Amino acid sequence: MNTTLPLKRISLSFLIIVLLAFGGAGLDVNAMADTHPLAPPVFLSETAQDTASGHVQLEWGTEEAASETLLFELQRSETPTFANPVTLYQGPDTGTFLSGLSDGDYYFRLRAQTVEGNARSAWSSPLRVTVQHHAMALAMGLFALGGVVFLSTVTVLIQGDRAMRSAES
Amino acid sequence: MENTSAVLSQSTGWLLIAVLSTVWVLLGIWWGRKSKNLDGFMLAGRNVGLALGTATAMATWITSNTTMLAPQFAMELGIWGMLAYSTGAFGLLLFAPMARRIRAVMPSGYTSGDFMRLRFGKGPWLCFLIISIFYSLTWLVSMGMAGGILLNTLTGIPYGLGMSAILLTCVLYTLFGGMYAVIGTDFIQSLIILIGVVVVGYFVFQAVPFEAVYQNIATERPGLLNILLPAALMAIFNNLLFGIGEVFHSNVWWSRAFAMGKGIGHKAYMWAALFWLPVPVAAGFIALASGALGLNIPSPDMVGPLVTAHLLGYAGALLVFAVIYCSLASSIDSLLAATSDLLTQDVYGKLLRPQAKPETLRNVSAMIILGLGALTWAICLPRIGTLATVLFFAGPLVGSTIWPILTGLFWKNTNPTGVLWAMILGSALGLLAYYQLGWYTAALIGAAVSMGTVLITTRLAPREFDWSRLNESTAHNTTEVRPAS
Repeated sequence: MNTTLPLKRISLSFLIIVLLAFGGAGLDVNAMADTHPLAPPVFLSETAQDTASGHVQLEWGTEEAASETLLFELQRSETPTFANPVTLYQGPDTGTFLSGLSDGDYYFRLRAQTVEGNARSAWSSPLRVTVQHHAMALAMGLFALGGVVFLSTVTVLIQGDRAMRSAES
Repeated sequence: MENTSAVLSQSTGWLLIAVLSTVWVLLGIWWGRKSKNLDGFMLAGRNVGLALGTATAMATWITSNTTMLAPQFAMELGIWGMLAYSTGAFGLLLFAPMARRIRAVMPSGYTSGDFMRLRFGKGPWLCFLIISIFYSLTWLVSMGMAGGILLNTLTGIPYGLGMSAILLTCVLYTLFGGMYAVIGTDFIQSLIILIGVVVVGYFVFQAVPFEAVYQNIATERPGLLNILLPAALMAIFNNLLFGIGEVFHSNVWWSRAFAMGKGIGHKAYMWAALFWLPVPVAAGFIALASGALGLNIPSPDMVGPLVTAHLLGYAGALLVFAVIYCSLASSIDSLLAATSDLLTQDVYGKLLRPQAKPETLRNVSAMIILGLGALTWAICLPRIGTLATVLFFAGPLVGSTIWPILTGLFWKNTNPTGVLWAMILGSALGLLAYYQLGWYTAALIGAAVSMGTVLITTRLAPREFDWSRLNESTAHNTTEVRPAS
C-alpha cells in the first residue's frame, strides 16, 4: 500500500501533465495557425483631454485589417496605474459617450480581442481626461443674465402686443 | 463612426426610403399644380387655415433636432438639459403675437429680409441676410447629417448614401410643389410624428421602470442629476434664447406668418407650441433610459434611435424610422422653401435684378432650391462635428437678432445704426464665448450684448419710423429714417 500509492500519484500526475501538454499545445497550434498577435487599439483623440462640461466622447480604432471581427474592452480608472479599474464597455463599437463626470482626472485604456476569443491585444496607451467644471459664480451669473434678457424680451413683446390691440380696438 | 449594431437591414431601409420618398414627391407634384403664380409658389396663396397652419408650424419645429438633439441634451446635461431643450416651445409661443403684428404691418410682405430692409435700411438688412442665410445653412446641414446618422444607426446604410437620399427627396418635392407641397406634406408628417411619439413614449415608460433609470444614472452618471451642474445652468437660458432667436428672425416662420390667413397666425403658433412641448421631454427621457438598458452610446446624437430601436425591436425601429424621416423631411422642405424665398426676393429680386418679373423670380426660386440642396449635400458629406456643435455655431448670430426684430416690430424709435452694431457685436462676442466657454453660452451672450446695444443706442439716439413704410403695396419705397422729435 505504501509503495503503490506514490506510484499511483506519479502516474496520475504524469497523465495530467501529458494531457495538459498535448491539449495546451493543440490550442496554441490552432491559435498560431489562424491568427497573429493583435496590435493594441488606439484612441483617436489626443493623449489628454480637458472638459468643463463633464462629458467626453471617446473614439478608437485599430491597425488590424479585419477590425469588424474584433471586440473592444474599455476600462476606466482614477489613477494612471489603473488601480481598481472599471470596465465600461465590451463590444464591437468603436466609440462611447460618457457624461455626468465629476471634477477629477480619469484614465482610460483599451484592448482588443477576436470574436472567437483566440487572440487578444495588449492594453493601449492610456488616455487622460481632466474634468474641471466651470466656476459656480460664472454659471449663476450667466443664468441670471439669461433670466434678465428673457424677461425683458417677454415684457417688450407683451407691452407691444397690448398697445397694438388697444390701437386696433 | 459607423454603427455596428443596426436593427433593420439595409434592404429594409432602402425600401422604406423608396416608399416614403415616392409618397412625398407624388404629393408634391399634385399640390404643386395649385401654384399658379409667385404668391402661390412662395406663400401658398396667403390663405392657409388654422389646422394646416398649426400642423406646419409644429412639424417644422419638430425637427431632427427635437428627436435627436433633445436626447443628446439629456445625455450631456442631464435633467436640466432635457428641460432646456423643451424651452424651445417659447420660440413658437412668443412668435404668436409677432405673427399677428407682422400680418398687420406687412400685409403684402414676402420675407423677414423685406422687414429688415424696409424698417432699418441697407446696412442692417445686409448684415441680417448674412446671419439668416448662414443660420439656414447650418440648420440644413445639421438635418442632412441627422438623416445620414439616422439611416446608419437603424439600418446600417452608409452615412453618405442615407444623407443623399433624404436630401434628394426633399429637394424634389419642394421643387415641384413650393409652399403648397411643404404645408400639405407637413400636415401628414405631423400626424405620423405625433402618433409615433405617443406610441414610442408609451412603450418606453412600460418597459423601463423609472426607479431603474434613476438608480443607473445616480451610479454611472451622477452629474446628470446635479441641479447645480454648471454647464447645465448656463444651457437653460442659452437654449431658450437660441430658440427664440431662431423663430424670431428666420424666414421659415415669417413666410408662414405671411402664408396664413388673417387672424390665423396667432392661434396657429400658440397651438403648435403646446403640441410641441412634450416631444423633447419624452425624447430626453428615452435617452436617460439608455444606461439602465445597458446600451453603449457611440455618439450622443445616436442615442434616441438606438434606445427606441433596442426597446421596441423591429417594429419599433420601423416606427422610429418613419417618425424621424418625417420630422427631417418636414423641416428640410420648409428650410429649402423659406431660404430660397429669402435668396430670391432679397438677393436676386432686390440686389441683383430689381426689375425681374414674377415669372423670372419663380424660375430663379426653383434654381436656388436645387443649388441649396447641392450645397447642403457637399457640406454634410464630411460629417463635421456632432449635431449640437454644427447647429449651435449659429447660436450667437441668431441670438443677436432677437432685439433688433422685436424692437423693430413694436418700437417706433429703434435706432437702425444701433441695430446694425447690435448684430455685429452680439455675433462677435457670442462666438468668442462659444470658443472660450462652450456652445452652451454663445446664444445667451449674443442676445445679451445685442439687447444692451439696442437699448443704449435707442436711448441715446432714437430714430422715429413711419409704420406705413412697411407696406410696400401702398407706401413709398424708401428707407430713410429721421431723428425722433
